[in-house]
Amino acid sequence: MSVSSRSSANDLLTVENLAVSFKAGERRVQVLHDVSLRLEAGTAIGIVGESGCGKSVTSLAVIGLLARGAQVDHGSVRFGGRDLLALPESELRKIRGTEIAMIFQDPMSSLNPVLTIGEQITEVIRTHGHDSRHDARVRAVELLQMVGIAANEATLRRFPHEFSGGMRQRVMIATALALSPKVLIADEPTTALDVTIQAQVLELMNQLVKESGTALMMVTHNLGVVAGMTERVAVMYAGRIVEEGRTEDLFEHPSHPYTVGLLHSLPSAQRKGLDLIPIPGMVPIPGHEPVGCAFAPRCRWRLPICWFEQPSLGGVTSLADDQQQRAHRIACHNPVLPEEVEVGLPTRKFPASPPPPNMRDFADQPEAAS
Amino acid sequence: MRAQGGASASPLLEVTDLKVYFPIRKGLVFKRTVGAVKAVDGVSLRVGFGETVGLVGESGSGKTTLGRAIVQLNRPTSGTIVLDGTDLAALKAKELVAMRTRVQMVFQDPFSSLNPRLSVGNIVAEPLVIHKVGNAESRRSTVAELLELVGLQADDARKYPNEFSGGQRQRIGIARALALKPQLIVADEPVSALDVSIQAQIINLLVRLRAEQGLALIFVAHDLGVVRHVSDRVVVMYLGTIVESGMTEEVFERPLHPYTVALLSADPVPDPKVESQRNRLVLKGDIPSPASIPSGCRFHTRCWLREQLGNPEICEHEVPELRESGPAHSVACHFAEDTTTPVPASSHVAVTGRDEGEFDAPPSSRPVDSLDRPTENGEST
Repeated sequence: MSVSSRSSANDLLTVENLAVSFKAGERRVQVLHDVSLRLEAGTAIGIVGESGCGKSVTSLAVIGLLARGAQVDHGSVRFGGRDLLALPESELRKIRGTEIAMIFQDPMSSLNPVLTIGEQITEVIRTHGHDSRHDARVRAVELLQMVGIAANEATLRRFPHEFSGGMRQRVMIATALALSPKVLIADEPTTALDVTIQAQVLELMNQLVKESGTALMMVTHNLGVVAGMTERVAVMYAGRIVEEGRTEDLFEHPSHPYTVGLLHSLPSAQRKGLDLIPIPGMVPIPGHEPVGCAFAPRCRWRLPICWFEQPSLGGVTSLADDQQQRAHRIACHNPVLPEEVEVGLPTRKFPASPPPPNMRDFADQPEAAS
Repeated sequence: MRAQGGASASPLLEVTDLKVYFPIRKGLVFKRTVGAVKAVDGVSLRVGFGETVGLVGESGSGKTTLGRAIVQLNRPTSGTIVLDGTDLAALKAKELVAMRTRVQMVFQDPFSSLNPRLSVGNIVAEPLVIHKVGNAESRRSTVAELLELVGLQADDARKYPNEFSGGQRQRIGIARALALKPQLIVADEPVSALDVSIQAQIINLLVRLRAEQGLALIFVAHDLGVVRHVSDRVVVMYLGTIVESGMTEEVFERPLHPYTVALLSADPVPDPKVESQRNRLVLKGDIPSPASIPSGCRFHTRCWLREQLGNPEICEHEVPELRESGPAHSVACHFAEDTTTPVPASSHVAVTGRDEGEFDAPPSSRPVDSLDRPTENGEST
């Protein structure tokens, strides 16, 4: 389970066994279970999954911005020899922005509407650096030009509403880049944008990773974006990483039924005219997952054991090479075989596994129809 | 797929030179009209019986406004919308109400398009009540049938929208649209608010219903993969006009308009091999405001092809007509024949080859990054 055995000197950021819970009335609901990740300089990792899978919580926990009522139950986030989770807020503030920066999903609401663009960028520069007002403004113009906005002094005096969505997202990126952070966390950075603008923003982020050696953590539901941008991918479901590996491996030999389901839910040119194979049912509400594997109620590959025992994250045994096995991990009792990946459905017969009596609620939900 | 194409004798829907302008007003007391947002500016479109037409384009391209005008939710400024031989603009209010039973709409946001205070049964029955179809008894059974048709249960009729997830709500919206047995459904981004796995469920549902009910569908979406999957024909819009239209595979495999080429190249594909080989064509800037449309070709301010050709003047001065450039393929570009793609001809084509044979493979096995493009219309699939 522990990643420490695999961590290398290149690791910039290491998340280990991170568990987060939210307060829900009297109870605490666990939304993140033992999430472990590592991020190397000059590479990008994608975190994918549907809404409610814990992707955003993971990224917020790393940077210490969890909402009130959320708490880290255990685990560590190691960065530059320190555990970020153990640092006091004042220390964290020094790291945020200067060393770890974050880009949020919604460019419409993450900029302050009553401050000019210039004020918002120079604020970051001047809070952390010791630049004079003038120097900070010069730097702000440079940053805007870097992200592809034809900027001058006058641009700095404009307000967010004068910018389009794509431009605002680029202002966000410029702000995030202001202090050349070592780690950039991007939470659905292009979801609100049109494809053509998305391409511009992705290009910019790619350049950043390749040229300045920034490590990028990209949280997204878009498998296409992940395929083009990242070296590694972690697929999350119900607060756990269910599959993790090098991007090519994961797309070429997906092994977890959830990953296979996601890939078959997307229309592709090769399957034109055929029905998509959706995943039946929907993501469980945190706190209402079954005892065993959280994906069991929706899984076409489930075995009786899946209802009772949480599978642990381990190497994919169907891969021949030992090294490959270690690089590609899944949490599944009954991984999808390579020949089943293409079809998207199990081709073997395995013991029928209706839900145990106390779990009827999880049996095929109406979404399963069609 | 289904028999009728756009060229058939009498289409179900024929839109001719449709314009939808929204006036820009100024002044508090004496409002003056100072300009117009030309959301849809001279669009002609045909939809055959049982045909699915995909409308794609960026936000601001006018695809939603066009869809809404067809359902008569926006009043057209000029132009005609002829549905099965009847000109909707010429109808009196009462006659228009009757026409509405034949065209229905599915909205994008399943959270705001259902009234939270009505039970699902009342939501789905509302069109029946408005159009005085049947009595309370028969409506109840119709609602039950409709709910089952879209994969819900008959007794869900008693529940309220907040008891359902996004995907289920979209099913309710579809059931409501089907209540009057329309011939045409305009679906405006019906899956873009949904998670991937739920998206696939709704797409399968739409595809199934379309076949069972013989529905024609106008499918408005920005997700090119989804549009390619469901549509018989595709219409690409830019700033209120159609820049390219044609049979789906034709357009995706051999895009002719530089905007379509850019759009296809910008769309990320969930395959790292395709992504690593592609040379993404990044368009500069944003779509211009429809309140101040560029002269000549509307796309000339962002056009990579114009730049490549040394900025020919014609693009700035002359509006390119939508012209036939092959069988069932039209394009509005002065230089469409020069669109030698600098990127893989179609980003959606499998380049890995591992699926060939299994599914209907790309029409030919020519190298994807080849620059040979049809310069004349002879090439067939």
